[in-house]
Parts: sequence; C-alpha cells; structure tokens
Amino acid sequence: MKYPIQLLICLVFGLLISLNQAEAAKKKKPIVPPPPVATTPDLQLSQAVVERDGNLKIINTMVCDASPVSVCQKECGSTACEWAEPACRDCLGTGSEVMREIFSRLSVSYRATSPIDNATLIRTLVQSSIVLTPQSPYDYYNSSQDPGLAGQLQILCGSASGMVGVLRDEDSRPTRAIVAVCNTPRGVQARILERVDESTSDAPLFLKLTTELEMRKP
Amino acid sequence: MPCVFFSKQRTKESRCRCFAKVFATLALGLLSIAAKAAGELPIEDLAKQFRPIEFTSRSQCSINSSSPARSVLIVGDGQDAGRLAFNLKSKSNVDVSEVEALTVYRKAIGATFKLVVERLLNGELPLISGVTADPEWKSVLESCDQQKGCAALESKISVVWRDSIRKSALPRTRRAGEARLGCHKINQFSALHGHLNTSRPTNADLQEIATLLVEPEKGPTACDAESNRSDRHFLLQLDLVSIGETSFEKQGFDFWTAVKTYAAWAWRNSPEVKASMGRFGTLFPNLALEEEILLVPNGCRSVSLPRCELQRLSLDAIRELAKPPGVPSGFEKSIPEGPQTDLIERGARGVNDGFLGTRSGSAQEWVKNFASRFNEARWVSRNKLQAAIRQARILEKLPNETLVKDIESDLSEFKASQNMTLVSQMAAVCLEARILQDPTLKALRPDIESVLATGGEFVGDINQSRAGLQKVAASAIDLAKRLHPLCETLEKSIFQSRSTDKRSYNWSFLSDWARERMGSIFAFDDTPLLDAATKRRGWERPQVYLNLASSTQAPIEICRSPLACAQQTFKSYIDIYYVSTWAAALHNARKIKDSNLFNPYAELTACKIYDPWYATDRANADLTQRLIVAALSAPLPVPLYFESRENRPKVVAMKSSITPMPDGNKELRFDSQFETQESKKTFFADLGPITGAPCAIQYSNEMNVPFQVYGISGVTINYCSDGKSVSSDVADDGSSSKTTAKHSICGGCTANVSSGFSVAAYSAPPGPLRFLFGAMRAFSLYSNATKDNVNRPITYTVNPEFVADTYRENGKQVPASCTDSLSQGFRCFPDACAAFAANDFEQRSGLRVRESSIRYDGEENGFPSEGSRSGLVGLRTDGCDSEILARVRCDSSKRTYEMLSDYSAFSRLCKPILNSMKAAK
Repeated sequence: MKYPIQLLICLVFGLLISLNQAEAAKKKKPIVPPPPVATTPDLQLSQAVVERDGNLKIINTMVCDASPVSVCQKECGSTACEWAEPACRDCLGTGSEVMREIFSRLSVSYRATSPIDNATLIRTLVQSSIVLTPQSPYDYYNSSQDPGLAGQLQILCGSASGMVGVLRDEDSRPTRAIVAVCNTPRGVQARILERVDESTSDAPLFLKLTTELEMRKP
Repeated sequence: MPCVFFSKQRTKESRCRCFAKVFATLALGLLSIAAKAAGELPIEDLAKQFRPIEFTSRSQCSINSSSPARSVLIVGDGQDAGRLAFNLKSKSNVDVSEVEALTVYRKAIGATFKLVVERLLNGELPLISGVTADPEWKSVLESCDQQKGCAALESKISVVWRDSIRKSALPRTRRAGEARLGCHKINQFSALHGHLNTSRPTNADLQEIATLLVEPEKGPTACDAESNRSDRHFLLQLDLVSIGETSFEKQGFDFWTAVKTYAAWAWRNSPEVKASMGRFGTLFPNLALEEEILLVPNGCRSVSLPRCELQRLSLDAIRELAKPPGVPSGFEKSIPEGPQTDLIERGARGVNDGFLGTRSGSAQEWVKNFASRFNEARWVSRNKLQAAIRQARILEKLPNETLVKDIESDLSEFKASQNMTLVSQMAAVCLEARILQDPTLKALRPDIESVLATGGEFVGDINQSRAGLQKVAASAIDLAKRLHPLCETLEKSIFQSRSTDKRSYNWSFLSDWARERMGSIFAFDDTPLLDAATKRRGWERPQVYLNLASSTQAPIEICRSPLACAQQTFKSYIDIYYVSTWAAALHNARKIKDSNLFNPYAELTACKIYDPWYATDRANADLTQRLIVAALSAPLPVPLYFESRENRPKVVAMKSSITPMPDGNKELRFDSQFETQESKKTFFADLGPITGAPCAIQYSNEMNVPFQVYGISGVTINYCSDGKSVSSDVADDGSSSKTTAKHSICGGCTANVSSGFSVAAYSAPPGPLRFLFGAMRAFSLYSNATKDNVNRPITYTVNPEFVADTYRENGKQVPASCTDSLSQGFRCFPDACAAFAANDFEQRSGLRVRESSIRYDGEENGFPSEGSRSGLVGLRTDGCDSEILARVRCDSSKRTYEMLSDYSAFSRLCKPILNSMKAAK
C-alpha cells in the first residue's frame, strides 16, 4: 500500500461520513477559481456570508493547487469548490453549551491529536459538520476586541487563521468539535480534536490537554 | 328590509337612510383597504379580534388557573437576532442593519404562531395529545422528551404539515361565528390589559378600551405587520375568538401543547415561515425559538396545567424576574431554598392589582426589564453549569483520597498551628463540609439530594455532562465525609483556640454560599473581607498545588492549594444544585416555555396553600351552624349562643417525593404539610330578655373577634378586652419572647336606628319568635360574608366588540348606565337581566338585538328590587316586526342569570328566526 496512514485515518472517519456522502456531493458546485498567488498552497479554506436567491447563506470555499489529483478535482472536478453550511440547530444565541465551550474555552477543553490529510478533512467538513471561523456569525461569546476563536486556534494549531469543524447530531444540533484547521502559507494543517475528559491517560495530575499543554503537579 | 337602493317600495326618507348606509359601507371598505395597505387591521375588525376580557377576584383567579388560557402573550427579546445582524455586518461585511433584523424577526415570530394557531383552529392540523389525538403521537413525543432525538416526531409533523398546506389551500367560506385568531403587537399597556390591574372594570376603563379599538392609530397593530415602534423587545398577544368554550375547556391544554410543538417545528422547517423571514430565511431557523420567547397567559388561566412539582414551580418563579430591578428573588441566591419554600414564605398576596407594573406605560420597556433580568439569570446559571462541568472534568482525575492526604500533609508541612491563613482556610473547608453532609446540620441545607436526583436530568446540552454532573455531586459528598475525621480532630485541637480568644483563625476564606447559609447563626463582623479572586485562591501556598502548564502560554492555575481544590469541588456541588433547581426556567430549551406570570395563585392553588372555596364554604357552614344554634337556644330564658369555626390549617412545609414519569424522567413533587390551627370558639349571652335592650356579652378564645352578636348594622357601643398571656418564643440566641393575646371578652349594645326592629327582637320571648330573629341574624351575617369581593369567586367580563359598538352608537361615549351590563359581558341595555337575555338570543340566533327590556313579576306591586327575581323580557331584532318574549330569572347581586322559557313571538315574520334557533338547538 502506498499511503497506509492516510487509509487508516480514512477508516476511522469512514463511519462518521459515510451516511451523507451522496447528498453532500450534490451540494458542491464548481466555481471560478481566484487568480493564482505567488506561492501556491496545496489547499486553502475560507468562509463567507453571501446573499443568494434572496437569502443570506454561509458559504465555505476550498481552493486547491493546479494539481490534476487535488482534492478539489476529486470532489467537484475543479480547482475550487464551495458548499453551503447546513442547518445548525440552536447555534445562534447563547443557549448551546457546545458552542459556548468552543468559542470560549476550546483550547482548554480539547486537545489536538493526530493530523489528517486533506481528502479526509474535506469529507469530514462537508459531510458531517458545521464550520466555525473567527468571523463566524455564530460567535455570541466574544467581542470584537477579544481574540476569540482565533486565539484558541493559535494555541491548538499554531495559526490564528483557520476554522473548527463541529459534529452535529441527528437533530442537527452541535455535539462536539472534531477538527481544528489552520491556514498556513503552505496550505491547511488540520488536527483531530479530542476532549480532555475522554483522554485515556491514567496519570491523575498529568492530564494532557493538548499536545503542547499538560496539567501537572509542580 | 335589505337595503336595495332602487326599490320602488322605499320612501324618500328610507332611501336617504339607505344611501347613507351604502356610502358608509363603501367608505368603510375603502378605509379598510387603506388600512390593510398600511399594515393595519380593518377598523371594524379590530374590536372583533380580541377575546372578552375577564376581570376576576383573587378567589376566581385561583379557580381559573386550572382552566386553559384563551388569550396568551408572547414575550420576545430580539437580542439574538440583533446580535446576528451585528456579527454579519461587522465580521462578514454584509449590508444588513440591526433594525431590519429585529423587525423581520418579530414579524416572523408573529407569522409562525399565527400560522400554527389558525391551522389548529381550522382543524387543518391535528392535536398531538389528549383523547382525540392519534396514539402514535404519544410514543414519538415520549421519545423526544427522553432526549433520545426527535427525528421521529419531526418526521411525523412534516407529514401532517404537508397535509395542512393542502387543506388550507382548499376554498372555504368563513362563517361569522367561526373560531378565529386575533394576533396583535402590544405597544402600550392600557385598559385592554385592565384585568391585570383591577378586579372590576370602571366606566373609564370601558371608555379607554373603546377608544383604542375604534380609533386604530391608538390601538395595537397586527403581530406580523410593520410597526413604527421598536422591535428590540416586544409583546405579542394571541386571542382565540369565538371558540367552542366547552370543548376548549377540555382540550385547551392539549391545544397549547400542540401550538408549542408545531411552532418550534415550523420555525425551522416550514416554507411559509421561511418566506416570512425574508433574507434571514436560512439563518433565523438556527435561533432556538424555545430560548427566544416565553408564553404568558394573559390573565389568570394557564397554558399548562399548574402542578406542585419542582420544575413547574421553577418556571412560574420566573415571575419574580418580571418585577422591577432590585426586587430580590430566589434566582440571586447561591443556594436557593427552592421555589416551593419561596411560595410558603410569600404566602397569600395580591393579584390582578398591577403587581408586575402593567398599569400603564410602554410594553417594550416592561419586556426590556423582564428580559434583562431573565437573561442575566440565565447567563449566571449557564456559567455555573459550564464551570461545574469543567471543574468536574479536571478534578475527577484527582481522587478524594489523594486530596485529603495532601491536605493533611500540608497541615504538618506548613505548620498549621502557626499559620493563620492556612488554619482559616482549613476552618472554612471543615465548616463547608459539615454543612453539606453533617446530619445534625440538615436544617441548614435544602433537599439537595432530591433536587439533584431529578433536576439534574433537565440540564446540559452535552449528553456526557449529565453523568458528569451526578459524578461530581457524589464526589463532593464523598470528600466532605472523608474530611470529617480530620475536621473533628482539628476542632479538638487547633480550632479550640478560638474559644480561648487567641484568634488563631477567622472566617475570611469561607465561601459565599456557606456564608449565605450561616449568616443567621454566625457573627462574621470581625472577619476581614477578601476580594473574590483572593478568596478563591486561598492561603498563599509557596508552590502551586495544581496547574496547567503550557509551552506556548503562561500556566493556568487550577488550585493554589489542596484546600482550594476542596472548596472548588464543594462550590461545583452547590452550583449543580442551583442549576438543577432552576433547570426548567433557565435551561432545558427543548420546549417553548410558559409561565403563569400574572397569577401567583396558580402555584398557591396547585400546592394547596390557598383554597379558593374556603370563604364560600365557611360562610355556608357558619349559616348552617347559626341556624341550628338559634333553634337550640330559642326555648332558653336567656339565650346562650355558641359558635365554633375551624381555622384553615396553615401550610408550614413541603414534603417532597421523587416520582418516575412515563417518559422515563423523574419529577420532584411536593405535598403540603399542614399545621392544624386551633378552632375559634365564641360564646355569647344575649341579655336582651333581661335588659329589654339589644345588649350582649361575648367571649372568644381568640383576639380581635368582631362583636357581631346581633348581626345587624347600626350604632354599637361596646368594650372589648384582650386577655394577655405570655408565650415563650425562644429565638436562636434564647433571649427574646413574645407576648400574644389568647382570648377576648366583649360586652356591648347595638341599636339599628334604620329599622327599629332590634329592640323588639331582643326582648322577644322564648319560642318561635326568638328563633325567627336568630335566623335573621344568621342570614344577615351570611349576606355580609357574601359581599367579600376578594375571597369569593367573582368575574366581570367585558366584550370589546360590545364596548366598541356602544361607543360608536353613543357619539364616542360609553354611557355610565351601560357600565353594569357591559361589565357582565353583555351589550349595553339599561337592565342587566334584559342584557343577559339579549346576549343569549344573539348567541343562539346570530342576529343583533336592537332593544331589550324587562318587566319583573310583582314590579307593579312594589316588591323589593333585590335578590332573585323572575320577569318577562321583550327583545327587538332586525327582520322581526314584533317583540320576542321569554321568561328569565336573575339575581343581579349574585350575578346569576337563567332562561326559564323558550323564545316566542306573535308575528309570523319572527317565526323563521325562532324556528331556525330551535333547529340549531
């Protein structure tokens, strides 16, 4: 096998993403790619709110490099794809504890674990989750002066620019953050997020909260 | 005769009248079109879109609480919609304004409820609970209640919703008396909400109601129309008009359950509602409607049947947040006693007296005050929950055994006996541990265990958090128990020094919640006050006991010392209790909430603290007893009377019981615990036969018993003496005692100057004559008791349509002579009994009565005009050229009315009307 690690991760995520695969594929539409930049990263992700058909919609966009085997080519046959955010039940307002935790304490409640490849990342984001960025309209917890989600991303994956994938339940409610994605000059760097209280560590006072953070007895 | 303008039979005068009628109709039509175009309701329609307004006494209000509401207010706060617009504008550069978002949002909420309620009233949507509902609903609702996911429910609703779209598209002709919805935005509190402020309407109230309804620029606007007032905070009113009252009485609570369920679904899924949201049609459905609004019965009736159960009481306790800022409520306490205890403490109180500030002023300002207090309470509670969950996740990795060992080693390592701050924090931890688990201090804590066993299931969005919360609660108690032996040892050693005045420690580190509980027992005057951060940190341990270290940011201190960790665990336990107590009010947004804001007697009645029938039953019992005593004492030479009246047992506590529910959840129900009150015994001797004057002496085992031996009004000269006896009422410090009167003795004479019968009465000889006067006394006192306007059920009803008609027909005035009949829910006629008959006729025939008069039996002979009377009513209506007659019986003092016969008329023209009424019957 040429890419055994990637395949292993695919298997882990396969269960999460298999249900909505066909439906999600329909959502993606090819768009005209933006003009090339000097140093072309392999993948860039962004989010914007636009008005379409008389409705304000949250649109996620991914732009790939010109490679004929890029994830964009594979998913939508173009160098760039976009998809509209699905419904996120109860995400606006301050009632959701999951959203509250993500926007206010993501880096303390979750730790970033293993990195994932672009194809798995895109499938995960498109099919199973909603995408939160530091500019997300769902952020009811930080003022414009606060570092907000950007600060959390900085801790989790080293860049203030990026997004967090959040898994939804069958009622479309957010249940937990599953992936942190940081935009870097070389492309995206994504890591799987794990709740600290689900950590398998046995050491009582040495909880690994993130790959960089650890709880310790001085 | 119909108004056919070119009819040959018409006279010149009638043609003019007819022309005026046609012109008026055209003008009204044009005005109504103009009004519609301006987003307002047609002028004529407004008065017909409000339900009759019910003004009730306290007792009636209490009785009505178990009846389903016909008029409901939606309290809405546009904060989240406004914040969305702000986020879009500031972060995503979308051209959108907050004002636009707020208006669209309010209109969309109005449209959602209008759509759902109208479809339910039209029978296009089925009820989902109750005897008529498809049994399949029960299982899908239960599954959703158990929070296992609501996919099955949503799928079923989508099926019936599609069906309702098809049904609503079918052409249908609306009949005049058909059930309909009035949906309005209330901008100003006015006489239209007078029932919240008074128990009886005045002529001025009626005048104001008419003005608001007839002059539309002053009145309310449609709930889904444009409004020139701010939509940041809003109050919408839903009125169910012309509904079948009898069937609604049975199905009303199921109706509102269906409204809440369908509205929540429609907000997210209905294409019609989405269309009403304009360009926010994709984003607004992500606002949790259940969080955004609160349903409030517009008066004394209820949206949900009141029950004496923790979560229901918690919802109704939201009322306290609708009071002006600064009025304390249980929501501000660290350890709330619980709504059931607050209920007993507050006891009987005023109702329908504007106690929530609804007498006048802007409705938006009222909602603003309520929403800001409510949001603040929610914010505090959610922060407590999040902190408790976080703490639980961190500290569950730290076994209590380890923590106690580390505390012990700190005490020896840092020489506790010489370290005042360490000892002070240790003392605080020991006291907190004792409060939480010591059986001897049970009185100091509410029933935390029961609340956690039930309310815990209602909190938390995160599935895992529920189990986590239970775990941290158990862990806190375990820690408190583990600390017990150590604390006992310290109490015999280091803590002893306090009693020898060495002041080796103080209470500066005692947590706020413990201070709140101990405030009444301990004097904390000599304790230095610390700021919150310092107190949380505790004594300055040289090294941090537990922190999060990071290579990228400064370490996060979790606990400065093991004692700080213990205090945080206890605090989490208290926070979980707080959150569980108020779960239904501040959390668990799976259903649209409703709260009996305007009727505190909903809970007082459900918990049996107030008995609405007590005064009525007592008056009846007193009458019977007085009649018997009068009969027994009639043969005695000097009549001796005895009266015994059972005082209503006083509720002193609530006994709680955990009850499993069909949906798998548990409820904490309360049963009132009564303390029997000593019955009031009164003896008196009538000295009339001896003195020849109405004089008597009276002895009672209670003080302040009125001297009413003769039961008649008049000039009374009497003297009462309250016997004083000392009863020791030991306070906590054992110092105070109270002196209370235990009996009273009265003697006096009464002369009724108006009738002059009293002297004769009380010098009456033994025998039937004396019984007669005894009986008169009993009835006289009974009559006085029936005049209690507070504790006896009394309702005044005002039909806005009738008030508006009266106003129009009387030159923009509501004559004072109309107040009586309009306050009984009838049209304006000079006699209330005639008005009742007219109302009955209109309801049965659908025709408007133009005149109604009555001739009472025996009127010509000058019979008294009070009490129950029968008479013959004569009505005149359009299309009938003679009087329509019927016999009625009325008692205007008791406001009871009864039709004694069918309607009849001599003219043949009237027969078809009467026949159609009989057929309809």
